[in-house]
Amino acid sequence: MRRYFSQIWYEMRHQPLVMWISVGGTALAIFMVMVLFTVDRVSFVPAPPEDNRDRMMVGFGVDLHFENGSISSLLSDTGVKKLYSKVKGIKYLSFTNAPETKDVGSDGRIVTEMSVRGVDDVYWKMFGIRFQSGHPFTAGDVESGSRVAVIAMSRARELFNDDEVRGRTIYINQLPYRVTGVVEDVSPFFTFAHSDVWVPYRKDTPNEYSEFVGNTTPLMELESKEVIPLVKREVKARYERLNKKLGEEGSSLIYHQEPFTLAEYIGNNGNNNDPDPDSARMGTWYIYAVLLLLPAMNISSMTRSRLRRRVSEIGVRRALGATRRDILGQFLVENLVMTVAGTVAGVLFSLLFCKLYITTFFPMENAGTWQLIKGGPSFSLIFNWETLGMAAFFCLVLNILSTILPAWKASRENPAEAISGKHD
Amino acid sequence: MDVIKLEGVEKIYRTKEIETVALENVNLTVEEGEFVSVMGPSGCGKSTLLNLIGLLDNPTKGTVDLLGSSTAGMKDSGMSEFRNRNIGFVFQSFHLIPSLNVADNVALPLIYRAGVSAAECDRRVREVLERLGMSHRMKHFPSQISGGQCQRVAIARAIVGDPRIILADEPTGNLDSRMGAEVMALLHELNRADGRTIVMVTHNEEQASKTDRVIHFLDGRQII
Repeated sequence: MRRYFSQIWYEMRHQPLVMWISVGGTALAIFMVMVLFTVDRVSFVPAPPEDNRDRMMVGFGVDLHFENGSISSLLSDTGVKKLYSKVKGIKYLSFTNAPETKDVGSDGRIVTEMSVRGVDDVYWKMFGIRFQSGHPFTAGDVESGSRVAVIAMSRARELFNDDEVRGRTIYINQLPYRVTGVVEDVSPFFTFAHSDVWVPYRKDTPNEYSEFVGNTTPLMELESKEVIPLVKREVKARYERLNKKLGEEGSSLIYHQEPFTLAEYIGNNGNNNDPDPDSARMGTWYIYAVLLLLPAMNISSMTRSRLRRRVSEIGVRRALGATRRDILGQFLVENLVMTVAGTVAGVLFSLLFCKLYITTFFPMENAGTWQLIKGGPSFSLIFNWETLGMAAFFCLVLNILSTILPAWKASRENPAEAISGKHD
Repeated sequence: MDVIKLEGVEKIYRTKEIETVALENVNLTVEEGEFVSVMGPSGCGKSTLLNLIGLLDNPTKGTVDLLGSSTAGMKDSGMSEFRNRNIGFVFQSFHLIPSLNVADNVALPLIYRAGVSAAECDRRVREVLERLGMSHRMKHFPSQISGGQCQRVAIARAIVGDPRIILADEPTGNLDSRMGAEVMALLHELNRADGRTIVMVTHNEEQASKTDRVIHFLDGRQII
């Protein structure tokens, strides 16, 4: 084994570019797989403040067809009530407005763009958003349309240069809102919990075309993830019942398997279509496959190049008694060592990336401990050894397979011709 | 005893367009302990002859018997083992493996031989390098030693497995006269002291004249 390392070290010194590309390609492939996986996982894994991601559903919108046209829109509060209210298995049903970017300022007239989300009182029960001071607004505030707001701590500091801003006034699109509470910042990676400012949910005004059309995004927390099929069945039955009545008026609601799980919602990219998580998953697997195949092809080509330079060495080894199997084994082991080196580098880069990722993108009070992190997923939640192992394993297998053909060809060289360097 | 016996050996290289006769009807015997030189102009088939004797290539026609055994029909793995145990090679360009140090280069034939322990391998490498006056360079790499020393290492590698036949293809071709003389002295010592049979291709008439027999080739034919 020492001789294999010696050979590789020699080539590292004499063909640094080729060797580093070979090792680096493997490392990069594993790293990229882990990056994709980590970024993907961050969107789905239950973590504070969205601890309920695995049992959360979204009533994305409504697809309404008429005799001479159709409307695809967000739901109205009336529509939400008709479709989702009191469905068995739903623990919380929250009425929200999709976040909008608005001008937010303070008495000191600092005006900056911030994300403003309209939410009801139930919303605060669904998500573990932690209050630094104050409290969320109440059902009464929502019902009466009070101008009250909850603001993220960093944004409060930006506006007032102070953490304690409860009771003070902020201006959203120049309208005054009284701050009732200040919360810890929520990472933008939390699709529904994130915002800079939260204000009471704004009820829909009647729409001229349909009572189902509005600006409401209903968020649901189920009693458990096991009831997802039950909820879907119940909502489908409601669609069917509503369509019997709507059919008489010449319209119909198209059922797109709502409400969506988080995976379905993200997989649909904001489109009001039937969710297709299988295609999304296949797409991810294709990307993984390409990422793993690229270094294998790279190693195959590098191996051919290395073998061309070592033809006379192969001839000499054969002259000294090496069998074809010895030659094949020699190059397989050499590439195995390089692949393992690349894999180790890839694992280290992945670990480093994962740590940097959670320390950079998620607010933390105990960064660096790799423990459960307040306001974000823990390292162990987003880093998956199983995936890393699979990526490393497939990289190893593909790299070895890609070495076999050139190494086998090398082992079949005529020793006399190889020594004379005829193939050099 | 005939250590090397070639009968009616022919070697033809064929491509789609051309057929080149490298050796034609070669009949040759070399006895045990003999030091034979092969001479002739470039392209006359000297190296081809050495390749056939060394089982690095197969004759198109005829038979090659080594150490009393026919090599016809021998499998590739059988040839490898035969080479490993019975034939040592010395090349004009030394052909040391640049990534391996002197000791590792010399050890190669033993690595490919079944049943040789690491300790045994180290002992034999050390012995042979001491004999050739190269033990102080064991950890050096080929690029760190002179051409003459490289050829000494190559000779050490050729004899470490204790082969009965040594095939040397212009062993002094890349050396100056002083180093060439040293290498020739070594080969003669291996022949006389150990009784190894040596077949050497050379262009140097003086060196050839000091061997037991000189065989001349021209255009693929043995002329003397």
